Amino acid sequence: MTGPEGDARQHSSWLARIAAVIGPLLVFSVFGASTWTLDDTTEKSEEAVVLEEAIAAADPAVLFLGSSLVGRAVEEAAMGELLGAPVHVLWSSNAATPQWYAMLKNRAYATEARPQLVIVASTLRRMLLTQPRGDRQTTNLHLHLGEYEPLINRKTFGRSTSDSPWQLLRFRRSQLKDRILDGVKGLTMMGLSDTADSVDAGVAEVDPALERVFGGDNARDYRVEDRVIPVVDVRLELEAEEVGETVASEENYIPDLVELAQANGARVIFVNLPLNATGRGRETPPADEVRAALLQMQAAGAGYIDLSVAEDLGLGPEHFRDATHLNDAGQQIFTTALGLELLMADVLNPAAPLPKPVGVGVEARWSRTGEASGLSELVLKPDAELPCAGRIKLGALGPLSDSHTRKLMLPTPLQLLEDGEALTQTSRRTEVEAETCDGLVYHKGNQLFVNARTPGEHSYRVSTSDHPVVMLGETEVVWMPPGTELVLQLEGVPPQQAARADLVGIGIGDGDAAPEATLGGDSTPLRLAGNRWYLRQELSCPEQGCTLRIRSPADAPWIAFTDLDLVLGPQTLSLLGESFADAFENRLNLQGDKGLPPTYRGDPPPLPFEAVADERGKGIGHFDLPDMAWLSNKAIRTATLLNNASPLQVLEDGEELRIRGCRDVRKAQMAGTWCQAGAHVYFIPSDDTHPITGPHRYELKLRDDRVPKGRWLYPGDVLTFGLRPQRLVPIHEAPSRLQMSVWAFSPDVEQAKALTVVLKSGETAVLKGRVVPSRHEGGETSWAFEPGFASDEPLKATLRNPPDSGVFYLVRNTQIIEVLATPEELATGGEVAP
Amino acid sequence: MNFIQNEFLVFFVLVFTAYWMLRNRKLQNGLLVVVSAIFYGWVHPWFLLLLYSSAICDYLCGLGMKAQPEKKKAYLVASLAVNLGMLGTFKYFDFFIENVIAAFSAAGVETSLHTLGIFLPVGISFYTFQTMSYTIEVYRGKLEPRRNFIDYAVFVSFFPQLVAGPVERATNLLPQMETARTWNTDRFLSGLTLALWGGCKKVLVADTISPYVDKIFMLDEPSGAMIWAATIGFSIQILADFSGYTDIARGTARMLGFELMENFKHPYLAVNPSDFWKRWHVSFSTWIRDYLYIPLGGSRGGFWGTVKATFGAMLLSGLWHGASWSFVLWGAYHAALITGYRLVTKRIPRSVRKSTLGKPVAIGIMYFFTVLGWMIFRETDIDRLLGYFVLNPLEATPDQWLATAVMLAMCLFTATPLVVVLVLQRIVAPRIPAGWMLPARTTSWALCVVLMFLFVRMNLNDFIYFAF
Repeated sequence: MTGPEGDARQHSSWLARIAAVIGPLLVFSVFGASTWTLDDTTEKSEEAVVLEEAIAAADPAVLFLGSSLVGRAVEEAAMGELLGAPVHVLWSSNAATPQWYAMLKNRAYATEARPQLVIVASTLRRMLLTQPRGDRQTTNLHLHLGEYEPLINRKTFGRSTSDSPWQLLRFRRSQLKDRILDGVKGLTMMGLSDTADSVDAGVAEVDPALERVFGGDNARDYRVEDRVIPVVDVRLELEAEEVGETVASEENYIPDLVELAQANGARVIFVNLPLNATGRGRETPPADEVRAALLQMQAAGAGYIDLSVAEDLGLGPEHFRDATHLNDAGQQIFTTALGLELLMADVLNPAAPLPKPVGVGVEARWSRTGEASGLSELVLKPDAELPCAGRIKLGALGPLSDSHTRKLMLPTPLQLLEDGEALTQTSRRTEVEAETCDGLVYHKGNQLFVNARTPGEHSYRVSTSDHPVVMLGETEVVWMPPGTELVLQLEGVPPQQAARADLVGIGIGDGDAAPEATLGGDSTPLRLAGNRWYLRQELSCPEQGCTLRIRSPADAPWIAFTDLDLVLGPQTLSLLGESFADAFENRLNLQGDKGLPPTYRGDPPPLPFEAVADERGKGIGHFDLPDMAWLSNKAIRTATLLNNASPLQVLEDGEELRIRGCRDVRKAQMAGTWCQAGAHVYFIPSDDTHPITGPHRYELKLRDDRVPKGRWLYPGDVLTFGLRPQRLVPIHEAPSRLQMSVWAFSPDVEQAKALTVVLKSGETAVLKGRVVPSRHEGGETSWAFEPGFASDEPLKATLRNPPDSGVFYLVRNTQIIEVLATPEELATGGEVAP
Repeated sequence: MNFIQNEFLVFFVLVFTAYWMLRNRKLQNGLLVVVSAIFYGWVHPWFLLLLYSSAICDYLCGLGMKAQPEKKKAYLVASLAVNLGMLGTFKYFDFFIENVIAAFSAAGVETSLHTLGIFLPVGISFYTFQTMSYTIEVYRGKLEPRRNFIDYAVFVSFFPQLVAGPVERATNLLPQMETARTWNTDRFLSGLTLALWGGCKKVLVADTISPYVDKIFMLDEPSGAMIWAATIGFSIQILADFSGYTDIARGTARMLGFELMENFKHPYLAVNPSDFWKRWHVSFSTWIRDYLYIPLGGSRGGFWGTVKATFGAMLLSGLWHGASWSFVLWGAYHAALITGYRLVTKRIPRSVRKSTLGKPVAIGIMYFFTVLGWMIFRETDIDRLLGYFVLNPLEATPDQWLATAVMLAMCLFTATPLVVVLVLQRIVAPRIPAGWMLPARTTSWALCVVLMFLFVRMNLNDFIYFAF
């Protein structure tokens, strides 16, 4: 190309190529410069300064350390009051173990504060993670790092260090992103508010408002709730992402946290925080890692308290705001529970031993001696068509596979030996009755269905399986044939704790002689209720362990032990099966569609209260209920806010106002809402009118309908519910009891005992009693039936609340239970202690 | 495998390099079959069984139609039965059982039926529809059945569009699979730009706004203002999410020498419901039009015939999105919109429609109705949804108004890149001299990379349409 036009084009082409390089470089430079101007990590962040000031001001004797989990779980003031010592909770959201270490080292011990006790509270899994699980955690970690962090560099950052360019880039990237998003919020606020004169001031104004809307009890884990668009695999992705890699060895931060605290004169307790069922599934490490971690804590001289099973603390789903974080009501309950644990362990007394990990190092070993009697040579009846299939009649051993064992999915305790070699058990008959020869056996009732290894004649004999503990699917069971001795060796039971073993088994077969258990020199016969054999044995195991021997006479039944719990102090360690209760409770719920619908008689009483204007807040009205302040205790408040179970309603011109938390009503002044706090019921008119002088009329009434998760019984109410008689059929072989859980709301304890119950079978009263709930809270009352009680007539229970009782009852649950009743309980036949 | 994952970046670089080194069409197709299987079976290899069951069935049905023309219909029925059977089993079985149980329960009958908790295989709705288009076209005589299974298998399992479309037609993609590809730098550069912009839409727009939207929809008692603001946010999220995926799919396919259908044509600039469906998820809406709406009678049966066909097509279209009544409701809503528009449009004077303000007003009204539809689509709980409709959109506490304002500000923030790029594409790009396209592209790439690095979330969200 020649000439000035050609030159110009060539020139332009070169310029474009240069621009193609400079353009991207410019973009990268602007990004680099933006991140470079961010705070240097060596400078103390604003969050760090705030934390230090708070610690210095609190000068705590007890310091809680962790992430938002502990921030939501422990209420500082209440815990301090319980322990009688200043308490401070040092937490930061998205904090991981390296950050806990950094916060303890660089924040807590940077001040004058030297707490006596450091409580590291989180989930066990998170205690074992050494890596930040995402950029947010990386950023938060950097905020608390000091200039020289050899331990964190080694354990968390590996070959790169915390100040390596990549780590700094990740850290600053997150900071920049936060600033941009905060900028959007801040600018919004600047446009709306006169007082927000800068982006930071705007953020400072808008964040608390957002917290009020989305935080507290309104907070939800939006990532795992069903209402999120059902993105495929989102739960799996979340689990994979959140699980992280646990480190159950010296490379985690457990020993370092303990060493750091001890060097500064503090003792350390690790607390495993409660989670709901979803969270527990996600946050429980494998059993061997749990054991390793607990041994690690014990070796480091730290204490351990496991409060992870929320149900044990009375925490239900309604006490969680998401899978892992407690809400305000849950926080109150947990703070009290943990506080009592700490008080009982006398943790602030330096001479008192720290609570030891329950079950750490406890091992249960089973062995069995002797061979069952009656195991003789058997004859196979071959199948006419299939080459290897056939049947063997078992005779007296038939009941070993009965409806009980099949319902519980227990494997048969029998081995079938074909020419002296055991066949493989299967749970599918179709696999046995096949053309192929696979060497299988299927046990049902009185017959063994056999699939031989090869066609032709073989000799068959049954034997008991070699190992006493056998598993099929997830069921683990210890079989005890008659004429044998079963030995349970328990090792590692903490000597300072009172221990008890609860053992439950199902008896099968004709034998009725009781096996005897021996611990040391004493011998105790196992007790029988229905077809359940059980033993409750106090243990006092020396450190080297203890041995429990159970001898079964030749005329005893076969017993399948399905549950063994070791009760250590307040906690239970399940060594076999799931729990003591699950083994024998076969719950049938009378509520809902399984029973006959409840009917009521009686009208709610009127409430002659007048609304008055509230002095403290404009536009707020209230009713004073001095005699009914107890209606607003913790239990009913929880029920009221979460289940809308309040017996009260506030009506504006006959229209019901919405019930909300008192924070929303009194502080946020949410229109058209009401709440109860103590002796006051506060309400806000639905428009801007005055609550007293305005055009509306306000009334306080009791609800005339009932709530789904329980039934209110007002004074004068009669509640009748029924049970279809066929529902009792599955449980007629064992003693049963009627059990109900009732909350009473009454001015005093004595008045709370006014509720009566009558259970009729047809027209015959089979049970009369008085419900004994505790005041203001749930109590369970039970009545035992005669063994083998059954009814061909419809069962009808009637609860009566006398008109003059002055008590409000909330019937939460009513059920017939097949139960392991003691002979004493059976003898009384009437009311048993709740 | 997800497009916004480091694994995919490595995967694609390796595939791209090996693909262009082979230079032989048959080998390239062989490679695409293998890598597509790796891509699809990355997390759950058993998904491949379903994919290839559908593919092999339709391949054999296609051949059968040619070999036994008198049994063409039987082969078509077999193909539809297998594909719809798979879809019915894996996507709708539990939904069906839940409704049967609910019906029995309402009648007071206890039943031992229970759902099976069947796991929905990713992309099953997309590839079954794509392979069905093959057998339908062969049945109609518009396409010759293919003998070469490898070419056919690439058409079915081509990884860029396998899990979330576009739902390609055999007539468009199969011939491309059977043609030799030559390297074209311009096409590569344009593909790269498109893919990076798609990634940017997903990360910068969709994933940035989604937590704000989700948080509001999670509240037990959101105010009306918040719900409407969140739904506007969702309209941005779903557009950026789905069109972002499509752009990455089209961009990566283009880099490999294939041209996939355009799936989104600025849907929020639609002026009426019919126009919206010509711009939103075009590959799917044309599938529904050609294989469902027209066979149901289309607009040939008078007003009521058209209404019947419209509702039939849109209800099934809604159900295609998910086994839930809310999606069916969403389909019915759009059918009602289309029908309503047909009734109303004749009464609007032409002068009004053609006036200067006519189009912007029409776009605004259509956007409002689209957002209303997204509310139905987003809220899977019908009771809550009905609750939203009776909420006063102007009622909220002061704190809730602030949250609404922040939500709207986030909408503005995340919509800005979409608007800026639209302006750049329509106004600025045509005026850039051809020689200066390269610096414009390299700078835009750098910008996309920086923005993605800045805004990428560690707990990555899958693309919304993976669920369908």
